[in-house]
Amino acid sequence: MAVKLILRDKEYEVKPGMTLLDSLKKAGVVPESVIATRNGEMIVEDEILKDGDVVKLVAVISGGADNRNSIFATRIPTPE
Amino acid sequence: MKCRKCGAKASVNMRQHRLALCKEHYLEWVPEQTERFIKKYQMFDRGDKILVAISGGKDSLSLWDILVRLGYQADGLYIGLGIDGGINYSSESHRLTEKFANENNLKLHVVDVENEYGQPIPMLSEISHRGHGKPCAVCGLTKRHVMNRIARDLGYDVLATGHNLDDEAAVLFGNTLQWSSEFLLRQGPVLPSTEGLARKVKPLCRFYEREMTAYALLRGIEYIYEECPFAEGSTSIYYKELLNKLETDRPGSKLTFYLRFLEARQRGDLFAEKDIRQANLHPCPNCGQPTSAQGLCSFCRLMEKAEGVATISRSAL
Repeated sequence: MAVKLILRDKEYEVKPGMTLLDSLKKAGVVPESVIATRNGEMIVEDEILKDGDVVKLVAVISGGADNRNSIFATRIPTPE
Repeated sequence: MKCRKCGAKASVNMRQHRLALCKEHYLEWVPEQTERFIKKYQMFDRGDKILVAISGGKDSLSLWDILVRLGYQADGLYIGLGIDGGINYSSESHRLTEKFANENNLKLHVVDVENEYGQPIPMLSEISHRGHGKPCAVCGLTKRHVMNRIARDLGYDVLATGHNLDDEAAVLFGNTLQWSSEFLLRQGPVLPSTEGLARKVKPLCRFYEREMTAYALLRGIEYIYEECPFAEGSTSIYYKELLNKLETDRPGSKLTFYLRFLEARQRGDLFAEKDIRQANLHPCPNCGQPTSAQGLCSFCRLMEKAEGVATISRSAL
């Protein structure tokens, strides 16, 4: 068994016994970019994840390129 | 982790504030803070008629919810963009916005771009050849135009948008990388009304995007989770991801970046080269190098202190 982290259509498995924060880092998920829920309840970074836990991650980033006070309003440079 | 207010299990931890709260106290804290920002930046007051721009996303629906909870007169404006992207993006965001308005008995204005201007956003973009193959520039331009028109035509005092701190920090980061002085000098929580332009405010500008997501989830607000199909790969999202990596390692970085910028802008410290040249520099009486400090320069003061410590140490031997 393991701990399962689900973010959109991706699944990650990490070892049980780690905190949520360490588990996210281990899976390569930026902790600041997600909210974690377990059994429908939000959990915070120091929560120890147990064998068999299924943690659903809600992505928090949204937005596009349409802010008025921004270079994005007129030009969209592509990151290299 | 425990709620700082009641000791119950925390649902949200805000590392930049060193504050963890349970569901109940978090749902009280967010409107309290919003009210504080509305007053601090003098956005509007109880007598004003507010038009809230609603996209169907977490931020705008949460903003509407918060303003109504706080007792403000807030109506919504939804702009139908005609974006499908294989996920019925516009129709689904419209449905969720209508649902929220109906459930809370709120007034919602709807403007459909195709009905009013003949073409949906993707077609307007194609026709105009603006935006390097992406409709974001045309979309932004159209939304700003419609929001302003409706706010003015229907006599609203202020137009409120759901921009959060991550939105603002990403814009600030992009404009700083480009040293876009014109844009930097215009960015802020309030854009005052000018001839023909409605007053615009951003009451959520000091909340992290993560906090607004938590608010929407804990309040049970159903919002469109899928991103606009055209936002994928956008520069603003790329910058948000970069800033979130920084925030993970250095909690509070995003908040400090934005707040220090606002403070510098308010003091008139941005792009102050003229002032630097005119600063009252004079030679340090000890070393002769220029300094703006009264008396000795900072280096000589440091040396003076170091010498004092050394003298004390020597005399102690």
